[in-house]
Amino acid sequence: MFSCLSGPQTLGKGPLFWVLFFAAVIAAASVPLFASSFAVQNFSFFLVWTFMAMGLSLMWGYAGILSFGQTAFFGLAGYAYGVISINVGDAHGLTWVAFLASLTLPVILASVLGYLIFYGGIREVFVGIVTLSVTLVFETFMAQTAGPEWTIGDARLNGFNGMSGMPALTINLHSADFIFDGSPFYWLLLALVVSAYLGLRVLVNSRFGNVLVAIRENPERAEMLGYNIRFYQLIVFTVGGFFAGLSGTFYTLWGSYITPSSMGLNAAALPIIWVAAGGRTDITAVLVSTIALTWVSQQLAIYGSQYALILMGIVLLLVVLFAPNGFVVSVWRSLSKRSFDREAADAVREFTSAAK
Amino acid sequence: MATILETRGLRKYFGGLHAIDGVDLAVGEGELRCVIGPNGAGKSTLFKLLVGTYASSAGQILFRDEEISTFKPYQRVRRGLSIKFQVPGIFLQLPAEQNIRIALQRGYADDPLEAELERLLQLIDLQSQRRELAGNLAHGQQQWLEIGMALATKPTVLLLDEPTAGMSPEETFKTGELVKRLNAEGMTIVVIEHDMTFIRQIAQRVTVLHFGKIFDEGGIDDITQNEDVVRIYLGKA
Repeated sequence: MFSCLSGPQTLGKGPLFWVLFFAAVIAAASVPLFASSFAVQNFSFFLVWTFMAMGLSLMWGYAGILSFGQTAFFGLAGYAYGVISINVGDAHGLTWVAFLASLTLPVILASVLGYLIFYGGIREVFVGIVTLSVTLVFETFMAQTAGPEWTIGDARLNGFNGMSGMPALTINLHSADFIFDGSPFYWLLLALVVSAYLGLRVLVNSRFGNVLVAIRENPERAEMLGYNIRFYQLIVFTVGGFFAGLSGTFYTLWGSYITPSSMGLNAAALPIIWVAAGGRTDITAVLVSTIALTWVSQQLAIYGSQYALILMGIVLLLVVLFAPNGFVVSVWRSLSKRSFDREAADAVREFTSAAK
Repeated sequence: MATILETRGLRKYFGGLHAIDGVDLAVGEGELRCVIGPNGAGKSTLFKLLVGTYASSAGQILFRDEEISTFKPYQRVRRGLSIKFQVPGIFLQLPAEQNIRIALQRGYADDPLEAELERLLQLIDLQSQRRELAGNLAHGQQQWLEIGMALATKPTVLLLDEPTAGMSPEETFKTGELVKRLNAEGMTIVVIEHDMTFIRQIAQRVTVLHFGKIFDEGGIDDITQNEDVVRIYLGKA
């Protein structure tokens, strides 16, 4: 049953891993049953960011594409949900249209930008420079939309202060509105995070995933095996844009606001730190590190937002110096190696005692 | 013997340097051709032009009479060209068998892929080290691994750029036997080499490149008896 979920591209396999995984999912799903609504809101906040981080892991860790501008897709989706939902969502009950449209726009942007990048021959660090430039341009543009002329229908973009007042995601079921707010919002998020995680595990362990890893390791050789590497890079870039957009839409839904700073330099650096700290080459590690680091950042933010940023800087330095493969991946491998060594030692002992 | 791979007036300039300067090369179907020449003669550049890593400055490349000069490298591979680079172009951080598996998966469904994987691992003598990271293999084994990857694409023309570099005499001999066996099975093979013992072991026909031009072409005995070839190859020209 789990064969397509495991493979050479992911850590974590075997019955024990999956028992722990389902236990974690059940524990997470039961949070609203005993925790306060504030805590549920907080847990939702941690989950919001995991889509963008997992998408970046797919791009950077698996396909070798370091994008420094995932926040461009995040911000575009967030603003798109805001503008569309304010115009058609509340009055006409079409927030789901705003939801879907806000996910479509980053996909379109990512596919156009990705085409220009990969078919235009831009490679390696220059992809990071281009994507960073795009997100900073978006931030700068949105920051100057404070004037009353910057209005789309009923939605005012509001410059540096950002937009607010977007309606919650609502679905009309049998003439009754079902509002994804509080616990239902959290459960929807959790279901999507679990689906995204499992879907990505299937993807990276498939033949498609094998080609991504080949492109990361040696793009010239990958092409010399007959793979159209630019096409694969474009697909991955688009998928990464979609996941960043998913985070952006849910961020706007979560707080009912979005500001240009969500596309700024600080915001753009954070996903890279979460992904690097966990271990960019493993989806599970990235999921764990993103939740852990956003939790730590939030705890520190109580004393001042600058402390969280300083900590993230220190985390990045420590990763680069001591665990270039990421902390979670390094610990995991070290534990696996110990268990492997123990098994090997047991086997040798058994063999020698049998020989005697 | 029908021509399978041909260049007409092929040129590659790097600024003022004429790395390949009007090469007309014709390789027959099923032929085993060696390309020799002193360092800087343009041998590796010629291969990179053939597979599309470099775009040519002028001239044509034809594969089975089809002009492929403007094709992307992956399109040329899909036509039937395959290459082993001078510096092993393998996936260093992946196990040896995964290197081969990735090379195979474009052309094989699951079950035939496993069978072909076993056959290739046996052919390149890496069965016992299949789970070893490619970067941990000895240099000669990395060369074999890349040959295995090149073979996995089911090529009709195989280009080998210094396949025995860094190998022991025994490994070199084994590689020569492998190349001869592949050729006997019908594969067209073009080899760049410096090791004359290896060339004598495998060569049917030899092309000598010098300053980006074809200097001489013929059987191995004719070539080695040509005093001009000996002189340029020893650097006395």
